[in-house]
Parts: sequence; C-alpha cells; structure tokens
Amino acid sequence: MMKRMRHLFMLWISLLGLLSTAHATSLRGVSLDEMVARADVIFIGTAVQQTTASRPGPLGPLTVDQWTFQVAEVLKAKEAYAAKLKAGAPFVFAQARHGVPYALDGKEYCLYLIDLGNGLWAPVGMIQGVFEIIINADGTKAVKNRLNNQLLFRGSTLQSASVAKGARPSLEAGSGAIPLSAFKELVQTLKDSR
Amino acid sequence: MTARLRLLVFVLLLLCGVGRTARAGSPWWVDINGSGVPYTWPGGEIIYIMDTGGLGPCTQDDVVNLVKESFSTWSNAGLFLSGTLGSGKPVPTVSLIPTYGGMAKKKITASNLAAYLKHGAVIVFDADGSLLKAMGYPTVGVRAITVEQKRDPATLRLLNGTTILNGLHLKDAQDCNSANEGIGEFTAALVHEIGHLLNLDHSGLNAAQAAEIFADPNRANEVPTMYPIVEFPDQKNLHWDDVVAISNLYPRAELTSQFCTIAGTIIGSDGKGFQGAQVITRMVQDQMTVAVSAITGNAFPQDAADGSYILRGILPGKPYAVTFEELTETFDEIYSSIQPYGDEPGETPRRGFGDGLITAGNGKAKVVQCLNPGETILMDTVQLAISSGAKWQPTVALVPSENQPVVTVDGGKPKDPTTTPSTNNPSGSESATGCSLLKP
Repeated sequence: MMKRMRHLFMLWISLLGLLSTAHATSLRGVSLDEMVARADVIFIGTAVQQTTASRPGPLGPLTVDQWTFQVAEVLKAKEAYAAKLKAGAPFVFAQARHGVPYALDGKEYCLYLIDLGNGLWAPVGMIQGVFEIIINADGTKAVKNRLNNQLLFRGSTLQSASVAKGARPSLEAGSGAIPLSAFKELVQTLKDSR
Repeated sequence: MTARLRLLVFVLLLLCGVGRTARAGSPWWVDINGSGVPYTWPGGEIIYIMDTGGLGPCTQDDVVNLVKESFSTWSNAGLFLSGTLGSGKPVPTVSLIPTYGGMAKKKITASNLAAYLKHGAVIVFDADGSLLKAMGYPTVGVRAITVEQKRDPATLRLLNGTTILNGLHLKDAQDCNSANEGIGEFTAALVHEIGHLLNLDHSGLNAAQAAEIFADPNRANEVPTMYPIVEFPDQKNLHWDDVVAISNLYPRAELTSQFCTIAGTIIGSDGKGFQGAQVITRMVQDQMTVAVSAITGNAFPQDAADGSYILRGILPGKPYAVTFEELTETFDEIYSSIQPYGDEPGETPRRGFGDGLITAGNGKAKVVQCLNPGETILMDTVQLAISSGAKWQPTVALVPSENQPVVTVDGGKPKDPTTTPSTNNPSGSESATGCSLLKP
C-alpha cells in the first residue's frame, strides 16, 4: 500500500511541476519606418544552430536560446555591430525563449533585432520584427511577418510616390506579403531618408 | 483497496477539482486535471498593489487612478438587452471585487520584484523599460506584459500575478489626459493586461478582418480589448466578447438567467472532440460588435479530446449565426497565443480544417434565435476532415473535399449567414432546443 501511496504522491508532485510561468502581452503595431529606424541590425539568414540555457531573471530563471544564423545579406548594421554581422558569416545572438518566432527549419528569415544591452537580443515589436521569406510557385520570393504585415505600411515615407512598385499593392491593401525585392528597396529608401 | 487508500484517492480527486461542471469561454489558466474549471481569484476578490512613481507625463496619482478605473471597467461590466454596448442600463453579469492594496514601499525594480509577489496582483511602472529588457522583451512595440506567477492547483485559485507597464510608450505624450494620443492606447493596454491578471486569455474575434479594421479608426469598437494588439484608444471600452469572457469567469446569475446560451461540439475525422477551433456567434443585425468567441476545448488541457464550446450572453429574440474558423498566425507565439495550443515555442494553433457555418436542427437552420432568457440552443455537431489528434498542423491549405464546409468569413465583413451554403454535418445528431429556427 505504501508503494501505491508513493506513486500517487509522485503523480501529484509531477502535476504540480507542470505549472509554469507564462507571459502575455499587448503589442503596439510598429510601422516599417519605425522598424528600420529602431533596429540595431537587419539581416536575411537561416538558423543553423540553437542551444538553450537558463539565466537569472527578475521573476525567476529565464530560459534563453542562443541562436546562430548563417547570414545571407545584411540590410542594416549599426556601427557597433558592423564587424560582427557580415554576409556569408555566422551571427550569434541570445534571445529569451518567449520571443522566438523561428526555428531550425531551413527557412530564410529577415530579422529586425534590437540589442537589449544585457546580453539579450529581441525582435522589434516581437513577432512584428521577424519576416519569413516565402518562395512563390514561380520561384520568386516574398516576405511577411506573423501579422501578415498588418500595421506595417504606415508612415510618411511609405506613403510617398518613391516606394518600390512591387510593394504598392500591399501598401494600398494595408497587409499581405510583398516581394522580397520590393521589401529590400523599401528598407533602403527608409534608410536613405534618415 | 483499503479504506485509507480510498480516502486518499477521494481527497486527491477533491483537490483536483474533479466533478466541477462550470465552463468558461476564454480562460488563460485551466485545471490541468481536465475538470474544465478555470483558475480564478477566490470569490472574485483581487487585491492589487502598485509601484511608486509616475509614468511619462502621468503623476503617481494619475497612474493610480488609471489603474483603479481599469479594474472598474472589468468589475462593472455588463451586457445590454438593447443589443448595443453603452446603450441603456447594462445588466450586471460580473461578480468581481478589486481592492486597492496600496503602494509598494520602494520603487519596484528587476532586483526586488520577486519580493512583492506575495501581495497578490502587482502593477509595476517600468518607466525606462529596464525591467522589460531584463525579461528579454524589446521596449519597442510592447505596451505591457503580464506574468501569472503562482497558482494553487488544489483550489484552482490564482495567488499572484504581475503586470509590467512600459513607460517608454508615454515619453512623447503631452499630458495625462486619456483623450490624448498615447494615453488612450496606454489605458487600453492597461485594461487588457488587467484582463490577463483576472485570468482572461487573448481573443481571436474579428482577427480575420483585422487588416481592414486597423486601417479604419471608425471601426475601433470591433476590436476586443483582449485582442493581442492594442492599437485604438477605444479598446479600453470592453467589446461584447470581453464582457462575456469575464462574466464566464466571475459570473452573476443574470448571465444565464437574462441571456441565452449557444452550445455545441466539433469533432475530428476520428470522431473525437476537436480542440483549438475558434467558434464565433454573431448577431445578424450587428455582426462585428455583438459577437462572442470561444475556442473548442479551451477549458481543458491539450489532448483532452474535448471539442465542446459554450457561447453565453446571447440576446433573446435576436437572430444569430454561428461559424467556426482557424486562428490566424497572429496567435502562433507564446505571448500572443490562445490556449490550449500555442503556449510552447514552435507550437501553433490547429489549422488545416477550414472555415464553416454551424447549423442547427439537423442542418435546417443557418440562423438561430432563442425565445426566452435562460434557454440554451444546441447546435449540430460538426465533423472536420482532419483528425482530432492531428496536433500542430503545418500552415497549409487542406485540399477541399465535397464534405468540407465551404462558408468562410475571411476577408471583409462576414457574409450574410442567411445566404451562405450550409456546412457538412455528418452526425447531425443534435437538434436545436429552446429556440426558434429562422430561415430553414
């Protein structure tokens, strides 16, 4: 009987162990103008390695993933990061587990990252700053984030006539994937305007 | 089995909450033992303390008042028999008693936050965003976060929780008038986060129309406060969906005595309950604002094979349409997810089953209506073309079959449900009860 009681007790303890801390947020829509301005680095790449560790946090242990991305193209790198972030080379950064909208899935992503200054990085606006690169049936590439680019195409620069032609339909619709080439042109336009 | 062992099992079952029958619409935390009971603050009494100092142009007194008003938004919530929120006197449907427990003795920082967690709910003013950064959040694009820290699984009571407000979003605000840009959105985010403290999950209602809605400020009242993106100041005013959700957790008798309920089940191709489909009912005359959402099996842990849904707050004498749909990618991440799927990295809501209209009366009624308050309308059981056990479906369109429901509510406003084709209802075993069936 004692053995069965021990089993029941262990079952109960294990159920308690399933209780974990979770976070929920309220997000603000971040425009591409702001995203380009606020990101410390913007690059296109593929995740090639992920390791997980724990570090102290204000509310207990914080699960942190260290990601290695093979960088295909650098769209922006503030001066402090220019030496570390190069096309054709790996880029390593740590990010809290609750903000990871990508995986070791072989897909290309365009990341807008901010250095939080404490050894951690985060995408601008969480899911908003991570764009998956989609390959269309005709082989062309398009990009969208998990908001389907909602709230992205706002801001004075994007409303100007100089924006890339390929981006115009999505800009007018207010959401939807846009061609990667047009997306890169938009980023360049926004960088040049500052 | 010996008497002692039987007693032990009995006590454990009691502690697990087995046997409770209450259900809720959109709870964040539920009993992992599968009783279908959500966690709540005991007796609806939540004591909250606040950080010291101000935020942006708001003084400490300003912020204290904003927080108090935001709690009152939830505790004073009610539904309107007129069918329009804010029109006439609301029927109170919420039993909630928030109590202000005073200010923290010291400014709350990353180094002392843990010490305040014994106080119940804690509202932290992160003026410079340093606390958010310490937790790995960007200060750009994140208005606030809420962390549920401790719960008692034996009593299903919430013990404490923390909301951290990002003060950097207020740095450009001119003053603390809630009518001004910045403060209004901040207040809406505050009401949203308090919803989480009270154990509300996000709402996916009107997500399929979000792009259009966010492009038109005149449609702000169509976005639930608990939608994961807070973009409009008007989101500080609760949507019908929000009121029903909080009423489900902390109900007054009026919720079920003065309004009706719509209930049903969605099953997979294997005949088992299908969890993770969003079910929405919309009043035909006002489809975007008088609408209630639920996620099938949301009150149960993953793999419980519970495909039931309950939609309360239905107006007697008004026609309603009921639809089901997949959650959009907005809800794929931990911090924006809706349970039961999406609370682990890489775990996305169930997809690949399409959208459709849910009928009643063995497919005869595309629109339903209750005649008297307190009635429950049972919808036809919907069987999907994918298995109930098909977890974390890849985001690909399922090849439509003849039996696949074809009615959608994507893009634009929902179509007139009375003109849309019927859906597949292979079992069709449930009949509409306590209601009139319109336009069969």
